[in-house]
Amino acid sequence: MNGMFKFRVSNAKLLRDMVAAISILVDEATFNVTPEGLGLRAMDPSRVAMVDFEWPKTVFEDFICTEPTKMCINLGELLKLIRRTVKDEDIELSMDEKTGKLQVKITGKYVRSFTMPLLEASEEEVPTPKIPFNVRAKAATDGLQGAIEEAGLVSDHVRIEADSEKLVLQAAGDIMGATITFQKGSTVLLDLEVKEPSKATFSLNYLSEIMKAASATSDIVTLEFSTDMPIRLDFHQAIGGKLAYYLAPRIESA
Amino acid sequence: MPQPWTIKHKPTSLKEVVGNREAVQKLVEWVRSWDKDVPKHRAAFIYGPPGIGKTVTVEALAKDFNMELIEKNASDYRTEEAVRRIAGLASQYRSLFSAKRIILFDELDGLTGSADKGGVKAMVEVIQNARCPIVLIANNAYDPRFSILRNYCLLIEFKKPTISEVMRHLKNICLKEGIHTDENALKFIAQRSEGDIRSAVTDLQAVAEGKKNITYEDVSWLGFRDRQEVIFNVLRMIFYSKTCSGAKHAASMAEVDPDMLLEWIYENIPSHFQDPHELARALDAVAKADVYRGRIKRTQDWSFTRYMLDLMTAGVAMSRVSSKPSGWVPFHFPTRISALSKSKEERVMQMEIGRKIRRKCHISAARAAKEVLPYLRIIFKNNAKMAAGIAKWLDLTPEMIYYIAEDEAKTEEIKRLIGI
Repeated sequence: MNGMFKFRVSNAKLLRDMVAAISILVDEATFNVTPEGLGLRAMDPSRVAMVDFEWPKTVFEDFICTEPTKMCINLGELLKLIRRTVKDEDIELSMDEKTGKLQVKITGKYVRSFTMPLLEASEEEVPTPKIPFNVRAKAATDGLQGAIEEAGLVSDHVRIEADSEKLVLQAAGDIMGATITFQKGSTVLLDLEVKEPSKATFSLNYLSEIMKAASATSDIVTLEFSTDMPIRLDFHQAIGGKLAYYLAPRIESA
Repeated sequence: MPQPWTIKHKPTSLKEVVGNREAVQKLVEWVRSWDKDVPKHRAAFIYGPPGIGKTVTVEALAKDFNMELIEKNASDYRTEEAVRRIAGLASQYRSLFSAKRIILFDELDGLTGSADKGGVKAMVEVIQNARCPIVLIANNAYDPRFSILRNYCLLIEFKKPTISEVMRHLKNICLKEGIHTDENALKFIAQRSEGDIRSAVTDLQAVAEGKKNITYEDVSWLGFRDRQEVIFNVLRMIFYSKTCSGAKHAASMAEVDPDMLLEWIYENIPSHFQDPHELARALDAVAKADVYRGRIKRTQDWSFTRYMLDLMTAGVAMSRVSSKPSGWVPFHFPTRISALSKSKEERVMQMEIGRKIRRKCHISAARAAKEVLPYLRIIFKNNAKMAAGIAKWLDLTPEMIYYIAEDEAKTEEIKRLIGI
């Protein structure tokens, strides 16, 4: 077994929400634990979406890591264990050197300690997609989430379009359609920078899952996209660190 | 850690793919046609015998065309839901990293029975709506299970490469590995493989283990092997299975009879069990299996076979506590069998002489060869006159006389005394 690690978060809810946000894309997640912090980059099985997560060690109450290690765990199982945690509970993850298992210690009104297996880490290094973004929009997470839900009422995919004035979500189902417009400078669309007008179509299933899960961790999201290129949704983290998703565009029939 | 050559020397570009020029061209044209519009067939169905480079071709194609390859094996698409969730989505969306993607369903033959019916149905739906190329691979596209699927696919047949094509590939590998080879040796391996490049490369690696020079002698033992690849996999499963049932199951896949499998296991145990205690236990299990083999032979009570099988598979697998050989350990053909076959001519000669003796002495040929022949040898070597008398009485041929006397001059003397 290589290096050991131990880290503690004083607000268990933070960890719970983050694990939930990652688990929408991957069941088995391989985290990189380094002396600088915790990170993960992973794709869903269909390779349509990717999550890019980073928590520097400043997010943690305590953070000990002697050498870079991979920590692969089943997120569903971990989520089960920490689902009942609340805000003022304290949670500590560590590797038990003797058994090679992950120890999850939750301290609240009482102390509970779980062990769970560490899985074989995946060797795949997921690179960061290199995309020349032409649109950059800053939005309130809850407002955008609402709009995505509404578009989901009529279709399973949505076209996101932007020009210098506005951001438009256009959903066309078999029988129904929806157009949702955000004017620049409104309470939902806080900022909009457009190098050139762009549009691309994305899966509403993924978008709504992502918005739902990530909104628990963030109030502001930055969307970046270009015509027929992947979109990047960067959820601003007040406590520091990064939670961003990439989503591939739908192939439009010619 | 040594890597299997089938992976180390895998073609990385279509140019390096062995054989099947026309089929590869057809595939390339089909993939190119996607640039213009969605073609008539949204999927290509590549079929052909194992080990001829079907999967490798698709991988090389993806690399050459800078496409993201999403590779799925049978286990990933057993159920309807799995096919929809993974391939259904993947075929509608672009790649995050490159402009295009291609989806590969490999080893379609692995789908079994009714449990996978939903999988095939979902696959047809995925193909009908696909917005990127999908490639299916199976050994036999004309299997009834794929009848619906075939209608939606461009069928591309991959044929076995010719012997000279396989040889060229083997030669390239030898060049890269810095190994000198006899032309005949390569030809022999290529012929044995019957167009199966993967097994040819595996064979080459097995014979080249620790050598810088390969001669025809080195490869001749391959002549006895019958679909070595299958037996290699079976052995690997038996030796490294963690459960009894896994090891027993492996034996049922072997295409050789239990006696032969026992020889294979016996031959390869020492190199795969490095801990002496585990090795002792494994050999003990094989020894007990051999006891049962003896009882089966003697009593013809074939119901003992199960004990023999369980001991030599599960018994061996369970001998391993923790140790694992470091690195890749090759499997070897049972030396006992090749030794037997080398001595085959000698045994035939002995039996022929035995039959001559049988006729005169009224004992079995086997017993004659075993008990009488050594005495004849002493006589033939020391007393030409007496030998001539016996040879005449037994009606031995000159070859037989030479075999017994083991000496040119003595043979001539005996022949002269008989008058032949």
